Amino acid sequence: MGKQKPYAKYIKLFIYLVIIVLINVAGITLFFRMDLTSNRLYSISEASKKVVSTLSEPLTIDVFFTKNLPAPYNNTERYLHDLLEEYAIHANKYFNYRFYDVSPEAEGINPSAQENQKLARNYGIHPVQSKI
Amino acid sequence: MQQVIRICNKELKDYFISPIAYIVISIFLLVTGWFFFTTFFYYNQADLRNFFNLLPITFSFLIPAVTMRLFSEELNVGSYEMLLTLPVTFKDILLGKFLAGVLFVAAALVPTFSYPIFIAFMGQLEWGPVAGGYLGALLLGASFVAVGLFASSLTRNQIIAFIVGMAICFTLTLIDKMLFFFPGSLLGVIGYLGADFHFQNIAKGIIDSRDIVYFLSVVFIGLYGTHLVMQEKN
Repeated sequence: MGKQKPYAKYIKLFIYLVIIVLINVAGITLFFRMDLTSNRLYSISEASKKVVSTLSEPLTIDVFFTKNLPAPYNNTERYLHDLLEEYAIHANKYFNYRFYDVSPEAEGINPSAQENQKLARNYGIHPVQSKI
Repeated sequence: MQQVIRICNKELKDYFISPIAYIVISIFLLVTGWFFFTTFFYYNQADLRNFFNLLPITFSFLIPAVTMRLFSEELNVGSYEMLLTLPVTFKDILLGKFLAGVLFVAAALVPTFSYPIFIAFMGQLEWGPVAGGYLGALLLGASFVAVGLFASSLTRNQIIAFIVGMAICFTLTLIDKMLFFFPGSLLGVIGYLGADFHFQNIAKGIIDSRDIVYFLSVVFIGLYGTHLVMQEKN
């Protein structure tokens, strides 16, 4: 342990921190994703990637979904989240998506649920009953 | 390299000779098993995603408790000075202790293999995401061990080391859930700092190079910080 100048190691720390930040920033643009699921559940096709990365106008996807549904519908909701996220990763800044909660039981607690339902009805989407 | 292995061996022996390791591992199993299987049948899917989703939270309690003694105890008892007189470098000590921590986390994860085996009997389990998940869990564990080591090197009091380590790990886990506190321009940056944000991909069964880079960066920063603190203490 030679006698270093007291601030030398802090400069070194700072340089290391800058290098790490730079590596991470470079990693954001240069990355690969490996889908380990056997039927490539979370991968989108090349054509989809190309479409979402070359959007020239804002595209917003509104999803109306009741929260806390029993299986298998809760899985559908989660899968939809994953898939839209996957699109968002490959998309440019014009791509947006939003989930609206339209749970009928949340009407009392969550005043926006009723408005979301109205919004959905304006789009021509009507609630569907299903039996499990 | 030999010194590293020797120190690692000594630390591991310290863990597994005392009952602490067994108690910590069985509590970890109990907690993850309970939380995993309560929601498992609700989703009715043969996968381990919910189990892996839980890990960042459980690890941010478990790992600081495991790593808190690594430096604090030595500083407190005074064996640290003796260790420094031996022919080992700071790097050997650091890497040996880090390796011991990571191996302990691996040992804690081994009994959880019973979950995928159990699930494989009940349904079609995909092994790809499970293997990726365990590798990712080890990476997450390694980054938290580095943070815990750093916290442990700061103080000679183990309880303070635990609380500091837990606070840092908890912040890393939860910061991407607290984004509404931050201004819009910083959202991307702060979200990127979250360990949970990066672990979600791994839990799903996706290996993303950015997540690996992130976890390795956390490991490096934690270990380098510890190294600095040790130099300062000298």
